[in-house]
Amino acid sequence: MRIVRLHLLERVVEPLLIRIGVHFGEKSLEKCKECKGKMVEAGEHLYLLPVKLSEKHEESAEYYIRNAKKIQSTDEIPSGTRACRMFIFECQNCGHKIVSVVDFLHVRGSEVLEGGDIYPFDKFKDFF
Amino acid sequence: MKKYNAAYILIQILIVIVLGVGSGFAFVYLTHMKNPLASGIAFSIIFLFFFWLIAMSTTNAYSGKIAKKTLNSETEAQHFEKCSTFITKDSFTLGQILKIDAPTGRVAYISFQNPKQCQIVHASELTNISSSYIKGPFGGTRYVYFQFYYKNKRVRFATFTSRNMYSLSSRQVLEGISKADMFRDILLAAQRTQR
Repeated sequence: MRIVRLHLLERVVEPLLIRIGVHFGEKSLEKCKECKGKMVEAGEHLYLLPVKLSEKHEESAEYYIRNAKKIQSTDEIPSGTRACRMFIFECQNCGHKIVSVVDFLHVRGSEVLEGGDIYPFDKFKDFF
Repeated sequence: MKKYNAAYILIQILIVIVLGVGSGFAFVYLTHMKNPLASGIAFSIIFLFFFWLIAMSTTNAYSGKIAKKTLNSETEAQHFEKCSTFITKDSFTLGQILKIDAPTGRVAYISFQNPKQCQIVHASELTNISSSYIKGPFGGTRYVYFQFYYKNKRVRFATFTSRNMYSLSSRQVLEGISKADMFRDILLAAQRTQR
């Protein structure tokens, strides 16, 4: 019974939680938190991380700034190595910027979402 | 790569037989059963099955300790430095360890059913290094692996196994495929290293 429950958790509950997280994450990127204006994508960057497969790492802007290595395309990602996309969003109204980091594992053309968060742009100003 | 040691396997079988038959007859003796020979044989079969199940589910645990010790001492003696290690140790499967020394291109292999023999070869001696999965119905899989051939004998390592079929787009299968691709690429890179 315990094996069946774990199986349901892996196959049904976990993907559902990820989809809910992605949905609310996308929703939170639509409107500026300062003035409720519309946020638009102002840039996308791809970086390599020193993490393999589903290893855990510190989820902070400082970690990404210290360890991310810039690459041009997903072809440069070695097998088993994680990468992250950094999206810069800018408010059309007040110019407020945020950075959305999406940590993923690239597998034969597919991407497995491993984590990510939204950070203030100020932390990444010198990085970009 | 020699996966099995006949003497080691025979010793394990003998231990299971001795424990099974001994327990069966001991049980009959202690419970003072009538017709001790027939009862002894019957209970021996029951205990043999029980001990066989225990042996099959725990062999990787105790054999693995011996194998790891052998592998570690051999690789230390051979100065293996920057290594990538892959271990399979699920119950009811053949436990194996593969250690790849990237700078020198050497590969160390040990099987849990041959735990006293660590086999070290150069990656250039391996052929047909590949990673794949076994296709199941409706585009799913329950077995993802990477493999190579050494002297025309296949050595396969599973990176994902399951009793149930998983979709190819599921997280678990994709991570298994990624792991298999990673080790395939490590072996291919080791092959390109000069001896």
